[in-house]
Amino acid sequence: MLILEANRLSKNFGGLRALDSLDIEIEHGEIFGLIGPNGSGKTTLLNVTTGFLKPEVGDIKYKGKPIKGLQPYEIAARGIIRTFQVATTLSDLTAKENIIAGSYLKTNDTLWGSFFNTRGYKEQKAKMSQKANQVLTFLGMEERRNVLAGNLAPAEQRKLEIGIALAAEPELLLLDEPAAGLNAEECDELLKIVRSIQHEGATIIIVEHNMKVVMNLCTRIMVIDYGRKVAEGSPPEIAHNDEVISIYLGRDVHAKSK
Amino acid sequence: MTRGKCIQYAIFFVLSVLAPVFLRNNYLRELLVMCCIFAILALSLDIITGYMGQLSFGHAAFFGLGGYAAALVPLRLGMSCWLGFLVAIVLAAFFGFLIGYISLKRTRGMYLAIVTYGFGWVLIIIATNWFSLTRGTSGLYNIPWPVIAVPYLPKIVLYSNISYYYFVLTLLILVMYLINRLLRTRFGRALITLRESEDLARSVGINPLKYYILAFTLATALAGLAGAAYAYHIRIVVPSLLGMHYMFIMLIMVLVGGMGTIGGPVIGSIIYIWGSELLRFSGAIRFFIFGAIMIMFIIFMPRGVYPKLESLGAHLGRLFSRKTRL
Repeated sequence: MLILEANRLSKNFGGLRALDSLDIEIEHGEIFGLIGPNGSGKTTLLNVTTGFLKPEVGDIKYKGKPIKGLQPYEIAARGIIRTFQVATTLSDLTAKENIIAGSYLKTNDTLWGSFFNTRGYKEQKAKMSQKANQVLTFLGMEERRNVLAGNLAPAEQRKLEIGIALAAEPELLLLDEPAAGLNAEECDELLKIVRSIQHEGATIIIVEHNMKVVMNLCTRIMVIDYGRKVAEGSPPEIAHNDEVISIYLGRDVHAKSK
Repeated sequence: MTRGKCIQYAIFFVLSVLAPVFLRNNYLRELLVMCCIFAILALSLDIITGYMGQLSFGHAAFFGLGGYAAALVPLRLGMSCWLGFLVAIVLAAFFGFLIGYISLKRTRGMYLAIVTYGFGWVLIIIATNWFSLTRGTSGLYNIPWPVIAVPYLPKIVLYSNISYYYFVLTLLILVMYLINRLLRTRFGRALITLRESEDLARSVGINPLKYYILAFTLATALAGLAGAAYAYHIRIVVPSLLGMHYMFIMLIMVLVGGMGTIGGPVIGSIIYIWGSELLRFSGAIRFFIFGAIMIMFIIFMPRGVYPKLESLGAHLGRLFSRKTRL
């Protein structure tokens, strides 16, 4: 079953064509990798899918229903949650508070309840706290829950970002370069976390530069360059694709090596 | 609520209730009333600066709007002051919603500050020139005072400083409680998430415009309430209530006292009112001294007085805790 479909997606920034008539199909439950050189349009694609940017041409359908032109918060409400390339954790709040911030869509405590400290309100608060602890434990960060996000190590902040997205209980999770700045050990941990998320039933699209992560994690990969699809297929297919290799190594180098 | 916070609020409650007992001078009691009114005003501004993380330079206009509404209801319509309070709040909220919607739809940060500044001036010009309604710069005077008339109970006339003080103190405590509780709901969390990172907020389903407008409207409604409280005590309203003089006073209270906290604007109000009183003796140069002191405050306590007091309190707490640490 297709969870996400995009047809002929195009996005221009003035004269610059960031996305050029791109077609994508994502199957439910897979881990889909999106790779390509810097500036190839990967993050633009994420932005267009989640409503942060509007495409000039093209359609996007989520679970069969069109989502083009919706605001980011509306798209999030439908179950698509994204992370950002730049760290957007809330530095002056603790890790646990960050996770709670992500759970906005799943909570509903009213002013009445808060004003009079009703039993329902107290229950909701306890549930929220419990869920946040669960997410932190899932990420292996339960000991750091009262540390200010700004004081966390960069790798922990990246995990926290994923945690905030998890708190929103996504059906489709879009990760934007989650392995950036992680060492080998931290990457392995990331692999485990992402696989667990897939195991819980979410579909994941991952934009990445780190080939080890992409090749190990993804069921399918798409390579784009200059906003256009260059290749699509399983990791081994992509690894041996001539055109992909020449994009990364340079056409002349690849031609000479043949 | 932690035990430290409980003690804090208890001390505040006791001191504020007993204050008129220690300050028998009528003039000093007047200052207490002003502290409460301006504390409500500062708290309302803090919703915009501290919890939304935005700047509004037109906030005084809603204070003045509340004052004028409160004056006009008994003077022109012959209705009770309590209706005046209601009209002041509703009118300030209404215009807050209108101005907020127009401004927040397209602007943030510095641009929002400029747009709200402009709207504030529009209201000042209307107040100054609509003579038949507001009597222009002469202002509205002889505003009656509120009377609490519950059947079968003796009437309570809120004329004296001491009676009005307990009245506004009650209002202040209600406002503090309201804001505190509001922050612990989904609304409060959404607002704070929005303040820290608008992009992150949008990505987890928060609609920025909805929350900005709601918070802005609440802030202007509370400013209107403060304006009405002012009108029924000072009993004169003039166009300058909408102007920059009060705008800057509010900003100083919020900045010096501590943005984003409940205690901050209250302390800021106390510091401002009592500070400018204590400096009276110095005559004309008191504004200069006052300015210099404010600058010192901002340099040494950039987060405000209240957060500094909180961390001092935490230190003291550790001194008195039973466990000795190595």
